[in-house]
Amino acid sequence: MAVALANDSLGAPPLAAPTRPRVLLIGTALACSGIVMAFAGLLGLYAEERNAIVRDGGKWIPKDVVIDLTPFNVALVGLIISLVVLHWAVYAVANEDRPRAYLALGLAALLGAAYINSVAFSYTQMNFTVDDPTGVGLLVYVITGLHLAMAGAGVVFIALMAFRTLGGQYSGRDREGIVAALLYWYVTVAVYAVIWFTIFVTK
Amino acid sequence: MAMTETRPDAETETATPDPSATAGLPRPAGGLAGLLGTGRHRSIGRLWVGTSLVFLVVSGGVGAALGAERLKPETYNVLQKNNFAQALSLHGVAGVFLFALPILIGLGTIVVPRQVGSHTIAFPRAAAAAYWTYLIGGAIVVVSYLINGGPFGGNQQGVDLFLASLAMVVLALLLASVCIATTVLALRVPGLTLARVPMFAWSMLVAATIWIASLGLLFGVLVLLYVDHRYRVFVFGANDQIAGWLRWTITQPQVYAFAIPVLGFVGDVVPVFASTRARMRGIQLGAIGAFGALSFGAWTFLSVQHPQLTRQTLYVGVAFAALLPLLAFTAAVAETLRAGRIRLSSPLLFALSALLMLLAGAAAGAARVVDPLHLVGTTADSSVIHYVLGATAIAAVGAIHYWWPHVLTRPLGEGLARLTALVLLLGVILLSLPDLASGLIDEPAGSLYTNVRDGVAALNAASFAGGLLVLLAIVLFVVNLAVSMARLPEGDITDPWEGHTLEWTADTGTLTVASATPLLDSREGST
Repeated sequence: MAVALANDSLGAPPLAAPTRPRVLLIGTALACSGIVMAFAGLLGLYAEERNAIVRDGGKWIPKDVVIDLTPFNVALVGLIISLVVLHWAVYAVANEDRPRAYLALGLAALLGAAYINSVAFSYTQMNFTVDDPTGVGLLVYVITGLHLAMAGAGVVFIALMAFRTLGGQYSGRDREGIVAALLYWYVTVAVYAVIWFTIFVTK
Repeated sequence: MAMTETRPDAETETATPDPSATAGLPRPAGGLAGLLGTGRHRSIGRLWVGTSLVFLVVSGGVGAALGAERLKPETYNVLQKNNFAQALSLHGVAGVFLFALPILIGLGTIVVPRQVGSHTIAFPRAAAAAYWTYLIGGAIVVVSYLINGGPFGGNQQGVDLFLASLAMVVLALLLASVCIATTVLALRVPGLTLARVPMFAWSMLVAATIWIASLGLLFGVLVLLYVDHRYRVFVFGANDQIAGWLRWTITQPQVYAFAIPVLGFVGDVVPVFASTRARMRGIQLGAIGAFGALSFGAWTFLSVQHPQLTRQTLYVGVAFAALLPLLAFTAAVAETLRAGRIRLSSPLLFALSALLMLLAGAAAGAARVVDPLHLVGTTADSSVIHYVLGATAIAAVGAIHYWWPHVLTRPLGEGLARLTALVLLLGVILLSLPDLASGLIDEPAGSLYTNVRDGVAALNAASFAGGLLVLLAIVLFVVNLAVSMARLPEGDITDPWEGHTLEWTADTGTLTVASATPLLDSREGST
């Protein structure tokens, strides 16, 4: 077996520079896996409760609750567009096109904020009550509320990466932070797509 | 030693700073301000370890009261009927979330960066924030019980406080796990592939991944329970239901996840004290990974609504399958011991004791799910938990003895350390085995004292004695610590055991490695 540690301070050629550790990207991916598990558990519980009530002949969505799909569809489309815009930001940073990178990052953050606004508005229209005895209102508010928090954190993440790009930390050679924000946003959109289908489409 | 350059961002905790290089820069804050603002992985890790030991006293003290209560199982003597279940839940919550996980995270925070050749942990500020969140959250968890909160609590605000503070603790543990796993994945020195990382670092990576996945789900459940209870909906979170929603975290298979680093500790210690290379290293790494995968228990979180889950083939199969990687790992350890020259020092005693207890816990867990034995819901549940968490405690105390230059800076007395290991082993066996026997004669778990069988009182007394022995071992450890601090001089960050892995190197420059045992190779190459 080769001697593992060698003293090259006495004239041996210097070692090749170690590959740049992608700390933020890996950390973001790990954090996202925990977030996905939180939603997986809650959505699993939602489906379990709904099945139990429907199996017993009960009604899952209360009579006076109105779920108009339009705002949720618009929110989903808006989130998908924000993903495309974030890809544009990554592309612009990779090509050292700073003005367009700032524009794309700003737009992505704006679309994220628009999503938060649209879900908050939907809360005022749906007539769900948190103290519904079946637990449907409680589950809907907890799941969508946690997702709002996730999206809010995503907007802050994107804004932070935008400021770092503005400060010159990210460039064509190193755009790890923006790719990490993109990964986080992908997970945010994917989780919303599952929520949209499970809660609002299948009702 | 390869010293081509020192990383500019490295936080070298052992090197003497060059006065000319720091001239004009603000001096690092000392005292309390320095402690509060520290991002040094060793300082943060020490805080985790110290605080978790304080919470161990809380959990152990409550456990002793519960044990004393069981001496006369027909009546309530020490506790009262309305707070017995509360005490039981505090014992479990503090034992798992305030002691077992945090002490492993603390040791991982101290040792893992050094094992992978990094001078810092990934996201040091996040690691520090995780500790302070844990400290505050953990303190509030204990306070919530003191104001009659917690599961089965009579004070509604106290129950709300418990749920919110436990969610804080879980969030902190998640964040710390992300920091440790990222350190192993992203901050390894060149040449240190995942197949070459030290066993403890590998086990912390496996464990942190499982913890992130399962604690993420637990966090979601806690938020749901909090909102449910806070708005008095009580669909899921009435006072007497909360413990049920948390039970999956301290039952098999999830409870095994809190013992994954035990295998890493054993895997690192045994070759050093057998003075040889680890045999069947690939099998050991694979066994740790397989044990980690089988310990993932988030899929059982709905067992509160489906108690029949414990009879399903998957659940039974996982309970038995968890034994297989442990047996493979034990075989590799035995082969390493057989091939080497054994030095019977205290870390080896701790390591072998911990492995033995983990094996016993997994065997008891497999027996628990055998349907004709009717062990589920009996005291066999607590037997499995005590075996596994006992193994974690033994390994954690052993790790402090083994990595003392990193954890304490002062050596611990070897004689007292060996005594601690033996008392701890005896204590965990006595604490756990009688409960398994009680379970075999259908003694129910928890606060149900309606069907006391003949002989249960004697078994409970033996279990209580075991608990006292565990507390005695902790006292011995603290005495050893105090003597060490008072009498023995500070040691250098040197290698007292002739270790094989990177944490024992004194080199603070950029390293490169070509095997799993770089220091052993270096020593053999120079002789």
